[in-house]
Amino acid sequence: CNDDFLEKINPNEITTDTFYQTEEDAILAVNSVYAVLQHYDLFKQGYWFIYNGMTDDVGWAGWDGELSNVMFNFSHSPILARSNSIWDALYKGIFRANLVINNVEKMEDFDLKQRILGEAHFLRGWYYLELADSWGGVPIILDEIQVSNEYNFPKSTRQQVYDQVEADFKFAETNLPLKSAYGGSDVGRATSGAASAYLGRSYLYQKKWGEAIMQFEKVIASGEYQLTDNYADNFSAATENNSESLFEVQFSGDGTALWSDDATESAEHNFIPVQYFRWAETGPMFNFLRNALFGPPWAGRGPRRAATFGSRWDDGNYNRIIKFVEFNTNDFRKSDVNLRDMRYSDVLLMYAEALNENGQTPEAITQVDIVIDRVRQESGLANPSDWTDITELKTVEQLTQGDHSGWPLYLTGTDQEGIRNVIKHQRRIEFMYEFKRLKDLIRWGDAEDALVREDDEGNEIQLFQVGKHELFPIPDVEISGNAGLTPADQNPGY
Amino acid sequence: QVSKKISISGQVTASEDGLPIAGVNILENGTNNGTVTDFDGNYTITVESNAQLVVSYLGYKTQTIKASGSTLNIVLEADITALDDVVVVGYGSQRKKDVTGAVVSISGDELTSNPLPGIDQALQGKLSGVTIINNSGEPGGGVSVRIRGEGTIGNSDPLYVIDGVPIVNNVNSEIPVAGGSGKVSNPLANLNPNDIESIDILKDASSAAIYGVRGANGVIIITTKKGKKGAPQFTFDNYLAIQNVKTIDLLKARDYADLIIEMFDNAGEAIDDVTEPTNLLDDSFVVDRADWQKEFFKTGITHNYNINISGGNEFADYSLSGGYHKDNATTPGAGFKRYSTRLNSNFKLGKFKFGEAVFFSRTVNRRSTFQAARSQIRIINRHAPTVAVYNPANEGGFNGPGEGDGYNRWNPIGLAELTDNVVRRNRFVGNLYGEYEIVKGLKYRLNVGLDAVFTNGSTFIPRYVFSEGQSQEDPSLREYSAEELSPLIENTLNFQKDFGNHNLDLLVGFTQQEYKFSRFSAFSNMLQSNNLQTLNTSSASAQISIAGFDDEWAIRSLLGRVNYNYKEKYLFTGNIRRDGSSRFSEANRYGVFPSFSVGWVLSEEKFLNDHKFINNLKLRFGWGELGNQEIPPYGFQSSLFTSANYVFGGNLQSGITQNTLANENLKWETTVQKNIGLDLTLFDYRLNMTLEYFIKDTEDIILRAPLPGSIGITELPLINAGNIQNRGLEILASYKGSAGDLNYELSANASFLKNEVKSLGIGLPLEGRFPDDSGPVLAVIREGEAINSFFGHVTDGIFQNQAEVDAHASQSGAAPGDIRFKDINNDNVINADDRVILGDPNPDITYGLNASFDYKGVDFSLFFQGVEGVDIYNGLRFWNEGMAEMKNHSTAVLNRWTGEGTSNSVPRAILGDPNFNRRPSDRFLEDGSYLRLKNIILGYSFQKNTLSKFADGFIKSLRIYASAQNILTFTNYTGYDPEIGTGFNQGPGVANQGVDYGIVPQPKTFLTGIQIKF
Repeated sequence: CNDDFLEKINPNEITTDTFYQTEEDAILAVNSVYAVLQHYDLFKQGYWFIYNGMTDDVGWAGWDGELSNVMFNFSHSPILARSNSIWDALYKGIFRANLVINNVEKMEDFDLKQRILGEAHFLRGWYYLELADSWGGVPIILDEIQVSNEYNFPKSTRQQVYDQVEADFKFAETNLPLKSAYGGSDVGRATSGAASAYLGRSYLYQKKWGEAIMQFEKVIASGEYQLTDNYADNFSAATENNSESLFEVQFSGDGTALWSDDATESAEHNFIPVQYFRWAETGPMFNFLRNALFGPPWAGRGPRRAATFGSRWDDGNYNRIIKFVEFNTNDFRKSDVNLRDMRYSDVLLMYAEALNENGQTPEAITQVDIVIDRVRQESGLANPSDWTDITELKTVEQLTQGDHSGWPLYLTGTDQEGIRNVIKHQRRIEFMYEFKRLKDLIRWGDAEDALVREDDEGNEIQLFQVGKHELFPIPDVEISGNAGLTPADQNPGY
Repeated sequence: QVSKKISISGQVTASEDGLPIAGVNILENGTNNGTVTDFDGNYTITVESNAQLVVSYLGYKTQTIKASGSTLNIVLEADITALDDVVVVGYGSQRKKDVTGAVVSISGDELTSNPLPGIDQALQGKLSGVTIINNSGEPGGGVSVRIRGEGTIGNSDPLYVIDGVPIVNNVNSEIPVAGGSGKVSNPLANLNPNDIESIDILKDASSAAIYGVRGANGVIIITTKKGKKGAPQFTFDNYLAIQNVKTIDLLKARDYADLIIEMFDNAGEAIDDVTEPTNLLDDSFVVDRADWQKEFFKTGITHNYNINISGGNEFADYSLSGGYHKDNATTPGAGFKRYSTRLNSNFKLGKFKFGEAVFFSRTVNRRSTFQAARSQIRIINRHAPTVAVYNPANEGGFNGPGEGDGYNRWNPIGLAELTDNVVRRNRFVGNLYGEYEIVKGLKYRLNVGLDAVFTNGSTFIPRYVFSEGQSQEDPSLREYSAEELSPLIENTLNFQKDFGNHNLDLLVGFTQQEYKFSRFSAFSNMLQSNNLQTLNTSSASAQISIAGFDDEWAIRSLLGRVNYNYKEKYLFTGNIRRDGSSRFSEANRYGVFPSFSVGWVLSEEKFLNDHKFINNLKLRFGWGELGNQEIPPYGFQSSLFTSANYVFGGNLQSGITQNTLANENLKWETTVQKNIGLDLTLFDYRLNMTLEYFIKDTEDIILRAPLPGSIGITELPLINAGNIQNRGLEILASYKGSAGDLNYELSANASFLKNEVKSLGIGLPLEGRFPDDSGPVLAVIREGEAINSFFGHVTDGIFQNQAEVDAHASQSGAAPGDIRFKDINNDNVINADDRVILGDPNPDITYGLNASFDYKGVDFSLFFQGVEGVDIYNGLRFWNEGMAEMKNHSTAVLNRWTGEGTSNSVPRAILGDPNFNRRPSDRFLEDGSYLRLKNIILGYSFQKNTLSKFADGFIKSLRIYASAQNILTFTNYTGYDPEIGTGFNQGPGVANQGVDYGIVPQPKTFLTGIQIKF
């Protein structure tokens, strides 16, 4: 006896049967793909601990639960690693992007259809790029998933993942509007320019210099972007989505709600790891980070240091990390400042790097100089007579020994290796605490030298192991739960 | 023949209380000449001289007395054989001697002679196979009731049936406090224990199968009091209780300061930052300003009043009662009040019978809000003794940490006292029945019931200041209102007939029940004043948010039962039930659940007839299948997650995505249970024993099994996966005896239980983390282990020097003074692969011991309750002995390692805990076995002849008593209380069973009361 009495429809939630009908539905659907960016394990918190915390830009990151702790020690394993939950979060983004792509494609044409598909492809490309960078070869899933007794997603090669990333960004590049075409309430959506830049980044990471150069030139030629006058404008709430911004993770909120550690991705607030700010305040690189890296004292150490380190509240201690941080009195653990993931200065420095590696060192210098020139202008050192007397580019070692005479603004000694070092240095201080350092060190092959720590007795502990730590481990649960993977698919060394 | 008639009159009274009994049959033996006692127990009868009078009354021993004299007072003795006791088995009742399933019962008298605020407490330890553990010592707090173990990963709660109405078990109308524990409501909190006539618990499949899909976790049938024939009888009960709780030794100011300074020293850091406790360097500051525990725990006072009026005659009976219970709790911000009233009446008119049983109650439960009760204790434990609780200069009157105090914890006493968090619940449960006897033995019954729960709650946070940076700038208010309605219709047809030696009892029925829930809530973050607590007083600039939520399910069932016995010697019961539930897709909507049980009364056989000391010996076997549908109502449907929001253009915009994978194939979870039992009654019904052995397999368990991350869903889909087995032995024994005027009863029960997860989904274990979701794994549900087993590293003393560190397997962060963890897999590195199953929180044995005595009106009883073979993870020690954070600690850390040879169990103090000494390991795992003197009661009932001297004998009985609860506990457990219930869920499915987060302990209660009958 079938009857209506036992037929109950969920009154609280829209069902999949009635969704994906209208343009409005499609917009709501694609918004959810962005929401994962704010996930607790991505930009809300996890990225702070992993992509900033595991680098030589912090000292000891302190205890944030065992999952992060093992990563700071480079003792993470497939069972125990904060990167496991980052993996999960990235695939959440992919799942949602796939839903949009598969369902919106089937919808009848409407005005924003191509844009929405472009956004979904952009974001899927972004999530896969993160996976390719940090895990190498991973399962590529492009279809909707159905409930099953077995899930079989074999591992693709890293090259195949980058190919997928390129395909997604290319689709996005052609189907997304320019940044200037977005109206006020759409600010923050993926743009054609952002797609070009990320495509360039994926080429750069693959050492495809020529293709990378083309992509970055496309961005520059679009005329959509320029550096802000003040470096610090890239880290405050008042100047979000400015002329330098290609793609940023959007946060908002008035800071009154109590911060909770729920794992949802709909949080409005960015987590500030304030308890862990002792990161940069102790440890062997303390003096180096603040007193040498950013230049000599007579230069006031420049606007980049001022925007990176400063005072929290009015505590008189100017050695706090303040990038992206605007303290509010109610709860100092959260900030509503957008996290910039792709800035124009990044495009310029990646462009310079590609040029330099492509044998076009003089052209590279020009690009680096644009980035540095903002610092000169802002520092009041615009006049070349103020800085041309610094004739040498000092090594990092010399800097740590307290010799600050060679503030690395000067750009002579223009061979490829010299400029490579300049670019590396510039990337470090330009993007400190912007989640780029770990990947940069690994792709440059510099991680082994950089990621060491001194123990209490002054012995050097090698944290980074070559041949292993270039990649995060594939989560243990993935290998035992995904029938497409076997233990042999685990990344080397784990 | 000369006949000489004589007239005899007198009064019939009961031996146990001396009260007159109305309606007693008095018959002249061998004749039809008889009479019945009146309301006052008086009778007059004219009989032949030397005639024999047969005096009978249900529940009392029938007496045959020689008629002599003109006045003959008769005292009836209660029939203690108990075998004729009736057991309520669902849609009917059976004599205990005919029962073939595993059923345990407790009478209302046993509950009320031992007054306790709730039925859950009263049942605890009394019955074999039933484990009841309070989740909190807060009044009205949650309780976990388990019948024959943790049967499933989802909901293991039994079904409650009150006067035939299956009630809504998980009242979900409450909005949990932010960051608080999940399940805090108690389905029994609305019931007044004084109203209970009996509780019968159906443990095995063959008895619970009549409840089909709702019986898998056992069924608790509660029958409320009915009126007895006789003049109106008034009963008045009152008691007053005083409660207090245990405390833990915490560090005083000097020791606290030394510890924190040592932590910094060991970490190689100076205390020089404003966020650090610079004050502790100043000796004049290191002064005890607060004993946080002392300020937190109060003496609680409980009042209870109850009044009952009952009576009846052969056409009608009634019972009406009212009760008031108030408990102002041992912790700030908590309290519980219950107003209850109940009416039962029955009417008989020829072949028709009508009646109703209704109760209405209102509970007002004030609860602490700040991260709920369990962690409130933890926060109390960690507050600096150097920081005062109160500061009259602050708005609100409470103090907060200042600059140099080195921490930012909000004053938990202030939060609890200032925040007004109240849940008000009105519950109506009632049924109305009509019965018609179509022909003799064939009865039709219509039963209409309703369980209605109306809940409203509010959380008001006033404006206050604790310190700079710790303040509530504007008062905020959340209000919500919810209703839950669950109407029930049952049609049953019952046929009962004896064909010679063949006794037959047939039942068929059709029932349906629905559940509708809706809730509305509103929140304003800015009220105009601390004194006006309504949403209407919101400021113009307030942010107001509103929300609403609806839920529905329905169940429709056909049921049938046959009871057959031959000469009351060979017994058979068969049940079948077909259930349809809205919680499953159309393809899997219906389930059929059969069961049967057989019994053999050996004592009726000739070969045992000679053994007069055996009064009853019965062997039983049962088998049955039961369903479980306790899953979210729309679990199989695909639905969308509508809060995947993101910010565009500076404003939050909605986002919608699919939250989980739909599973149209979701079907019933099935429990197959086999039960073998033995009932034995010996020595003139003085010794009663019951033995049961059972195997309970739960198959196709509905759970959210872990999936590989690449699936990418936010919420794991519900699937049928896994199999859990519980098997166990249950023993119940009691002995009633007397020596002169001394009557005594000794009883004991014990349940031995073994739980094992036989298989689990695609094989991935379920994991529960500690201390929070991002912490390491502490508990797992894993194939081959008991459910919710503890998992972690094994400690091996403390590194005394660097040589020991170097000699050991590579252990990240280790230094002298840190804990050495065992290299289980001998790979020379300590990592996640070195974790093992450490123990499990499921008790091997739960038991209860009861002894009661009465002597000339003095009654005395002792009740012990205990568990054996249970592990508790003393999570409180994670903080109290962590020595990693700038918080206060317990005195256990005074024995910490400070140099070679100083300690081999308590590690060094170091900020940040680089070795992660606190990781899940056997370090904080403790034996949670305990034996507790749950209750000790001394009472005195005034003798009848004493009472008769007052007020013309208006008072018929009067008892005064005093009792003490939880006063003695034998345990090695070092936390507040070894009674740790099931906590809130963290991972998918792993309950925080046996994890002590700092639960509000069971109070020691001293109680005195009076019971009067008029």
